[in-house]
Amino acid sequence: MSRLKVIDRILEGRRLDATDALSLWDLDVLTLGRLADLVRRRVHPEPVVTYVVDRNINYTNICTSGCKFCAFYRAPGDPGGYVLDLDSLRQKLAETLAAGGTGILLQGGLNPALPLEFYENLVGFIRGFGLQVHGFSPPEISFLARQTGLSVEDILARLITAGLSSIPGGGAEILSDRVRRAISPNKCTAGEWLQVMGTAHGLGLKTTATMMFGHLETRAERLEHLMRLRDLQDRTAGFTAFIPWTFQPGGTALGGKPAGALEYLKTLAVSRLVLDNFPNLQVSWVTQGAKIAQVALQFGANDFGSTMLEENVVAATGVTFRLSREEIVRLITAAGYSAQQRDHVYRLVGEGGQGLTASCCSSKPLPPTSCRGLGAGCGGREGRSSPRPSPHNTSFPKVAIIARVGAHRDFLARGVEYRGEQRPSTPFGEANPVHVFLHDGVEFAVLSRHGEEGYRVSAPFVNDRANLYALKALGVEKILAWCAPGAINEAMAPGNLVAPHDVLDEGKGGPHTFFPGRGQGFIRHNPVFCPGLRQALIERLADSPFKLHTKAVYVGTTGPRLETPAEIRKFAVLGGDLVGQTLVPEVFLARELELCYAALCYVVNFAEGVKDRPYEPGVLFEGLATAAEVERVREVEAAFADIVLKLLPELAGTERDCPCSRLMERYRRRGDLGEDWRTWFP
Amino acid sequence: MTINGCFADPKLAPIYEKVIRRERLDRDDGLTLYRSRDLLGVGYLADLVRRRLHGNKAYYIYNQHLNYSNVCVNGCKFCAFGKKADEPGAYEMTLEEIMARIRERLHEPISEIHIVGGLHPDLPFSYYLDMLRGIKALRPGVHLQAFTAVEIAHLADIAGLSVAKTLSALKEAGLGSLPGGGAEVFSPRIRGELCPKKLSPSGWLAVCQTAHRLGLNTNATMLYGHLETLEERVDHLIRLREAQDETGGFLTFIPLAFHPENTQLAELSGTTGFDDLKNLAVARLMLDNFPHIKAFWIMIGPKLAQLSLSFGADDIDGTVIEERITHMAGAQTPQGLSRAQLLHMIREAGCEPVERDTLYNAIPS
Ligand code: SF4
Ligand code: SF4
Repeated sequence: MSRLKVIDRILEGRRLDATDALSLWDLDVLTLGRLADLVRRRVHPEPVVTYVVDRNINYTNICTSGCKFCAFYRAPGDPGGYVLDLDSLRQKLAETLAAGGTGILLQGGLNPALPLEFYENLVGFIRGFGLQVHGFSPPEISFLARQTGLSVEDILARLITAGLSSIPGGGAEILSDRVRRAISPNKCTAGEWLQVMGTAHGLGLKTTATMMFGHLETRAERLEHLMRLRDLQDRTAGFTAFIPWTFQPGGTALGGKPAGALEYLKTLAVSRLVLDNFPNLQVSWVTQGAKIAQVALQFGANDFGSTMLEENVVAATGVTFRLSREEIVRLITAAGYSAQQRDHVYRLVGEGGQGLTASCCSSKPLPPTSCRGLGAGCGGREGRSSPRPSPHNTSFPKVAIIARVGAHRDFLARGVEYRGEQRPSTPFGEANPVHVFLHDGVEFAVLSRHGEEGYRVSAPFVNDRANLYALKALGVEKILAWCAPGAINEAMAPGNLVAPHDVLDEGKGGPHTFFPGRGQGFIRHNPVFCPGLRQALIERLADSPFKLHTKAVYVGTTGPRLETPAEIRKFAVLGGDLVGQTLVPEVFLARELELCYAALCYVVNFAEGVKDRPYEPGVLFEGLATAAEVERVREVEAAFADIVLKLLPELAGTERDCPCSRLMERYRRRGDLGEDWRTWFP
Repeated sequence: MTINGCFADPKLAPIYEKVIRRERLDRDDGLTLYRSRDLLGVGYLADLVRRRLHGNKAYYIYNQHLNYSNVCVNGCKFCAFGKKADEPGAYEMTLEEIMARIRERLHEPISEIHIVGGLHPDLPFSYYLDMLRGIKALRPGVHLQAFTAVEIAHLADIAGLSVAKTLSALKEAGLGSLPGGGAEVFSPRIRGELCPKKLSPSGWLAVCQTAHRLGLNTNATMLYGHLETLEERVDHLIRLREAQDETGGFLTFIPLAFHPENTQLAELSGTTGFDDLKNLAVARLMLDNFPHIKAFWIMIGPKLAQLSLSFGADDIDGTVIEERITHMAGAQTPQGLSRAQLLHMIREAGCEPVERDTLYNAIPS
């Protein structure tokens, strides 16, 4: 595998095998970093870096394992051994809460004197403070299983009942038995480690995974580690994040010199490239220091880890970096990202709140990305699309806005150049009129879902297929759907903008497909919305006066009735943030036509039952919102045309290097569908 | 496919074209580079230039630092080193003490002695001349890189001589070249606020250019990460570039990360890794007529210095044993690296270590 081949594979979004991965080490650090950053941007198009506010609590340092790299443990009976008492624990928990913490990273030595009840009580005690417990790495779990004679599954089930919320990925070291025999012979084997994690995932626990490198492992063994994690993740999808860190020789039996910053950054980048099914990569500022940790954000990492109010294990090796939360935020911001607090299972705190699963987080290779620069040597560029001069003076808008009743009038009112109305005929019945405009050299189409006057076509009766077919027939490639859902998530206030990233289809209406009874239309919806369009609109709206939420799960219902409080409660439990009757099945149909589709929502009210808003006769959404909220909603509504015009160059200019344009490829390949989409429907 | 010309920040693409065509970058290019979020893209551009000039060589020097006195009349706000004569901690070394320092390390293969101090109000000009002569007598082969342009102007005052005559006298006593300190940021706004008493930018440049005309090389620095704007940084670089076009005597540019601890600006935050690497890379790209860019590992730490070799730097300074100025300001880095550590660090970065003398001649090992 030559170095160029591996670069090709990455640019094409294909999975790397062990040989590819090994050849990554031959790349120079900048190339490797730039490739990893490319993949990071595919997985997380938003320039956001997360961090968690938590505290490390080491409940005991008494340990029978005696790992050679550990400077923290005391053998049973040695002076200096401790088991944490409840009073100091209470104190630490209170401090964590005061610091805005969301959880505790709970780990300790393998102490034979502690019964299972000790662990259960510990977890329950911490949960009593409203803190998440991210606790007990696999060596501790296997040790407990051995001690008690229970199965790993039983131990985990009991800890889950006690309140355990996730498992840290420590103790993985290098998942190769040769290395483990040499450095931590008494700790669980690689197979046991993976088995504990697999079992935990099966029970619904999320876990992280770590790798401690830079001791006596080879690069091939590092890759073996990554491959084993990737395989397990393919099966369980239970890992939230991967955290590589360098072995710190100070005060340990292994000694030697630590891996340098270069080796760390290269390993991090290789991890991002190989672990294509891991949503998050975390920097290790504890071992690397603030400066390298910040730079690591360009080498594939998207998470700054934890504020680590206490860190005993690494501190015992004499490495004592300390970073306050303010400092972490400053480092993230100075690197050009926005900093967002998350919890231990990677849900954003205080905003959005609906998880940080990546747009790729799947076992399959990532969508291809072609390069966006203008430099030499970039194949397959289309260039920023300026409007194609049309041969017959008909219009070829590439971008369409699907919006509310009479949306085109907002553009007319702003004096945007009007190129006329189109009404292509479709095999699916009558489409709504399509209005074409020209602004700053970019043509765009506007279609009102619900008709042009009044609210003539209510949600279940919108002919999505005809509308989308009509747009596609005009040459449209990209659609921005503007819609007005209600908020289930209280952080999304009326008047806020939201760019949803996922959809929960709770609708019963139809038709849901262009291919009824034809055996076609199995399409993966991960990501549901076009990543390129989403990124463009998120970036472009970063400075908008309206608050923008960049992640949300949109729940689609049928309507026209509004939802019941019980339904809203159900959606909340399922992870829904917004509820509306517009995007489903529109988004899924758009994708069957291989259109890029992204949605920009503005919240009009809190969904039923989210806030206590009594019934008022004669009003609908207004009854669900306060006067101030209604005022904010009006402001966004008034800004609709300005927002679209502002987004337009980005929407038009975004290259279609996303999977959207080839979603039906498998049917083309099978010969079920012709190359030209116009031949698809008789 | 390659990713060479593909930038996360498309604004870098036109600059890439210029770099490939070896065109000079202008002020706007400098600002675009500083403002770009694409650190690795900027690094890649700088690395192109660095490789063109130096291949994969990484220079280091075995030198000895000597800070003869910290007494200073200037009181610059960013300085954690200078003290008033009557302040606790103020010191000045006698010539005997200095010679003892030199003798202590005579067995080491030191090729350069790097001498800087404050602006001492009372020490006579003869002290400086005797210092240079004395050291040369003990270590005839050593190169003396001594006295920043600011100190030279001060010595000229004390001696009552012109800058040229002062420099000639020092050269005769053994002076080999001038370090680059005291340039700070040339912006009058910054200097008015932070170091109003200090030698002016035109004065600083005039001393350097006079030195160049007398056959003495000098270095140049920029102190960044305090109150300066990105525009002020770019203007600083362009002014250096213009001076270099005229006299050509600058050897090395050294961006100095500001360390706020123990200074009058202690409320500021220190520089970040992004900023440190960015400054090296932008300097490499803008200062097309400077042979060398140095990442002073004492200032930014060995980890970042290692990385800087991919961001435009070709020199990471010396096997310094003690270096007072930065450490008084709380730099969190070790005080010295052994030669073995230094070589390992360079090789891990994929570079070939070259021990150099002051003028960048390779010293055969
Ligand atoms: S690393 Fe963990 S298991 Fe190993 S000795 Fe230390 S505390 Fe015990
Ligand atoms: S920076 Fe130099 S001139 Fe200014 S106070 Fe410090 S020693 Fe004196």
